[in-house]
Amino acid sequence: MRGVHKYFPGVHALKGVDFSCFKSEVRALVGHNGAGKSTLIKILGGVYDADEGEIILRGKLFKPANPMDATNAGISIIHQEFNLMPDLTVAQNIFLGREPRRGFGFMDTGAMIEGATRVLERLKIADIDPSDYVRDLSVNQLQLVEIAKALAVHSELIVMDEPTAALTLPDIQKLFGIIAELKESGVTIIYISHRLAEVFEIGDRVTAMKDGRMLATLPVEGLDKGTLVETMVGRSIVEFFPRHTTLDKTVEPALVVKDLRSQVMRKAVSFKVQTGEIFGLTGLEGCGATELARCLFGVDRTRQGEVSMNGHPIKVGSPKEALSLGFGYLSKNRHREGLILTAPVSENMAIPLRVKEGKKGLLNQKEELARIQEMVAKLQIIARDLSHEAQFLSGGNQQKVILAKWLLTQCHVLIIDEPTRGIDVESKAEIYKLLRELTDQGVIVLVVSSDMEEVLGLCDRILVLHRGEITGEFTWETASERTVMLAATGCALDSEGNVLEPAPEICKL
Amino acid sequence: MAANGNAPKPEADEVRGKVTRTENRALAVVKKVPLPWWALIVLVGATAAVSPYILMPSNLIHLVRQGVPGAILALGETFVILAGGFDLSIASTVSLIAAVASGEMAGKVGNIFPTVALSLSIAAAIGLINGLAVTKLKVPSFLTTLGMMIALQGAALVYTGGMPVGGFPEEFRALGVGRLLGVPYLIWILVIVIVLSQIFLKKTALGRSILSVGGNDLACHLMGIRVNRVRILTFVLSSVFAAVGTLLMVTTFRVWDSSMGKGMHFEAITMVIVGGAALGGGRGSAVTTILGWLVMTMLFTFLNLVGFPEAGRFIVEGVIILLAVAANREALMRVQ
Amino acid sequence: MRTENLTPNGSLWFKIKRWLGNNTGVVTAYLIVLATFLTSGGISRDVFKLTNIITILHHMVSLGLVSIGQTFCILSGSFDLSVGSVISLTTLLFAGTVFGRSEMILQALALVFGVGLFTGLVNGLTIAKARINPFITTLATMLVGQGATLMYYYGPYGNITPGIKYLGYGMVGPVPVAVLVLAAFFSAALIVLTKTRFGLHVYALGGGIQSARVSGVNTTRVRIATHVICSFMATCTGIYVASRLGTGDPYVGIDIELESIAAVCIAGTSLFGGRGTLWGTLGGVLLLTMLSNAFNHLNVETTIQLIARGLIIIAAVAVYTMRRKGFGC
Repeated sequence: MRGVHKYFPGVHALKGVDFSCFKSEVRALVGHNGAGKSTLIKILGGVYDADEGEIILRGKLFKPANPMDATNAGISIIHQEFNLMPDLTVAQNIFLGREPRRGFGFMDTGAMIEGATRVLERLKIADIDPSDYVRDLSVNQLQLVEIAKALAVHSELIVMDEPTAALTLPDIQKLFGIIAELKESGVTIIYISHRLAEVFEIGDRVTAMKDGRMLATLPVEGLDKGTLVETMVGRSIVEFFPRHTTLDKTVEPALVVKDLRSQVMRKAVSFKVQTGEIFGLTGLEGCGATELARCLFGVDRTRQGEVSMNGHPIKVGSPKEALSLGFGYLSKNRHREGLILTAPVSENMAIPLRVKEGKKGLLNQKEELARIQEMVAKLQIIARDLSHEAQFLSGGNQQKVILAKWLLTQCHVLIIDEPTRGIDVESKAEIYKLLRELTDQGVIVLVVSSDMEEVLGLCDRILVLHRGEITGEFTWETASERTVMLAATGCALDSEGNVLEPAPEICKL
Repeated sequence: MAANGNAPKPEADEVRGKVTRTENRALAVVKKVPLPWWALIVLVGATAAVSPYILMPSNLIHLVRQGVPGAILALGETFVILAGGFDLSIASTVSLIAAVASGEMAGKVGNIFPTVALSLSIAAAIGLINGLAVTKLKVPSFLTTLGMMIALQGAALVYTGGMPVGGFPEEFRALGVGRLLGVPYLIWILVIVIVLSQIFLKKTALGRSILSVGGNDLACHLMGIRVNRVRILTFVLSSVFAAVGTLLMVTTFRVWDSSMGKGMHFEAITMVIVGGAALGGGRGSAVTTILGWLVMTMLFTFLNLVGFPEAGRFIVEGVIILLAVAANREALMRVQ
Repeated sequence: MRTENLTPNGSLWFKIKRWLGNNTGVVTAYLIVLATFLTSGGISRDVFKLTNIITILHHMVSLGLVSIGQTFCILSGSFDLSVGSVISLTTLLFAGTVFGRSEMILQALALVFGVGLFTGLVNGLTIAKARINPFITTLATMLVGQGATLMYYYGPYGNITPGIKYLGYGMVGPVPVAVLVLAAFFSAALIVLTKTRFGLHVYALGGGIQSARVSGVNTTRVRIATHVICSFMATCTGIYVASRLGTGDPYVGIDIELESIAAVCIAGTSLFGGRGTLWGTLGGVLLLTMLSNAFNHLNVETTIQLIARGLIIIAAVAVYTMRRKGFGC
């Protein structure tokens, strides 16, 4: 792929990307959220069109007009978001779009089930029947079906975008086995993942991307993690994040959570947060941190447990109650849950404040606008004018708008899930600075993030979760990438950071 | 020319520049003003060209007065559509309220106020049922209001037994004919309703939350807005407005008849859409709906004048609504 | 989708419970049909008589034919409001062209199917290419169709031949010809939906248009095809109605679009597409027809029938939408 550019409204997603790989290679593609990895492979797979640039496949120019072209050219993609139909069976999902035929447009259902069974066997999956409906499967199983989809077709190039996000450890090993097999038979694999341990286990070479640009391609053999991380980050972590705070442990914690559990949380969780510290909740995709955040904010109903603020027990039964108690929440699905895209920026920013103040009667729009403008200036939000619709802002500015609307409510507790996903570098730094200022002013800030670099750089104390339970608690001084990563993959650690026995194989990496 | 190598023929260029500048300004104006306004202007112009008498105040007033009930129904429907739903039941609500009003007033003055109160209460109840079915039972509003439409049709027939019953008292019908300062009461009432609706939608937190809910209900929920309550409110408003429109409509009749209300749901929805509101919610206002009402009224006046066959109006309605939505999508896609 | 892992070999009871949970709508509909039949039969013995069963079957045919077409649209995430005007126009064009002369039948068929298929194409193209909402698109076609019809016809018009009448009134043994026709279409549609690639793609379109596209489904073609099928079935319905009425009528199709949508959705087929079956549609059609029949036998007034009908539509849909997550709209 040469000189690929891609634009979305408000965002220059890919800036002249050059990317190439050889046959029989397992190429890892790494980079932070929003670096452009998914966009790049969607262009390769015919889902998006590149605005500029070209793709050369096996020596010939390749311009897929739709996903079918890519599939016919031997490219198979396992996307990050599932593209499964809940009301169709596993076999039907696997073969959608390339059903085996039997004349006159009929499907060969027998062949479909046979083919599906074969693929599932290859993946050594015992508990999924090809005739099961996808809506009845667990998230783990859904991921396996997605992988099966790609394997069911004979491809020469398979792209896997975060294929292990929802997988259990044994399934991950099975997948690696298959990748090795495929490589042997001449298939090229592009493997996108956040989990650097995996990169080192199966990758031949690794390419790092950042903010829509290609940084470097390095051979995995002989590479050490530090170099890789440095390459990915591109600049010294120290400059990028504001300073840390170490708090006096004897001061009473402001927020105490005891045995909290909602109906979607696997286990009960307890922790304490002091005023003035940025508290981080981290883990791998699916670790339960997001569910915990949502329970705190009242989005999911609390089944058991207590929360108390400054010594007083509080009950958060709904987002409205949370808001009135002084909570604020930024969801990780910015577009679906954070903004009203068709509404003007000013409207988006005004709503929580209006709800909190319980306005009846006519609004004082002049006053509202004045407060909004103050906040816009303070956060340096760049928008053509405040009546512009929120969908036209860049990702960074959109996030600032969402942040601003909660700040306007003068919340005491701010919960942010993935604060800088898909945001440019400058805005990231600004947001980090803002969060620090907030804690200095006495606001409690809880950050949920799966971005290791961010968690280590930003948070003063870190809680690591794995499958819903706490596997590690660190301060910024005791945390390191190794210890946090280990805890995130489920390895319990002692206070020195040594792996506690018994530990699964993957902890020994 | 050799001296100023870089600026070829400055004079001609200036003239060209001026022309393009004016063109650009004109284009900017055209782009800024929403399409329905242009449609309205064109229609008024065309009508005037065909028959200037139409634009005489007395004729205009008559035109507007005829359309008042339809406008009020459309305004009620606006609330539901802004929040992302549909209300198909208003046609039958009109029939039922007209029947009840006719039956309860039964020609006596004393019955007017209690009947009006009763009518509004019944309408509010209908709206409440619609709202609850949509929010609690999660039946899509299309199907809920469809079911209600059928059920209410039956209810109206049960009440009247299919025959005209009761009647509207003279004093009540005076409302339909009377004027204040030369302008009919009905038009005053319409203006008040429009103003109140617009103020509600644009200047109160609750009103604005209707638009927000239509734009993204999940985000609103996370910001503390009670999404279900807002949606229920829109259905109640829709039915109550339908009742108000009905009461105003029947001032020109003596008694209920079974054709009242037929098709008014599609008419109302058409006006809301043509005016620029988005199906699925999040865009629109009382003003855009009135704009749609004006366009449709003017359109049919024009067609009547040029002798377009009565049945043909359906065709025109169909084409217009299609064009309106298509044009709207263009406007939405033009990223400034 | 569930967050807990399935037990590897689910017990039979578990599988039955799961099937019931996923098919609540259809099961409820058929239960109501059975209940209505038995209750009304218990009160009035006439219900069980063969002649009554035949009456029910006849009533089923027109709603059934058009609902089969509507099912394709709704499964793919769209719907068609224009079927009513297509039916009316078909009766007029058909009966009007034939006008009692059997040699004109072929021409009449060509005409009505031409018009029907054209309508389907227009609907499908507008929704797929111009990306205009199905409500608006099919509302527009309905209005244009109704308008065109009323512009040229002021009342019943046209005449059929005895040959055509056979379609509407003929019997093969104890079974009406019309029912056989319905059964034929039903079977064909069932096979298409469950056994062909196209059928799978129809479900896929409703299951998620973006995902379908990514998987390589030609969403434009499928969308257009579903609407053409729907208009085709509407045309067939029109021909049947003409054979029953003996003539064409511009008002005959009114309200049938909403009724067909209700019939499809009442038994578990989601208005948003992706799930549901033709058996559900059959159940819905049976339910609505059976209700009318029962009410008639019980001498319930038309007016109360309307009320009951409306409320039952809401209740039947509520049975399977109640447990949906998220907000209703």
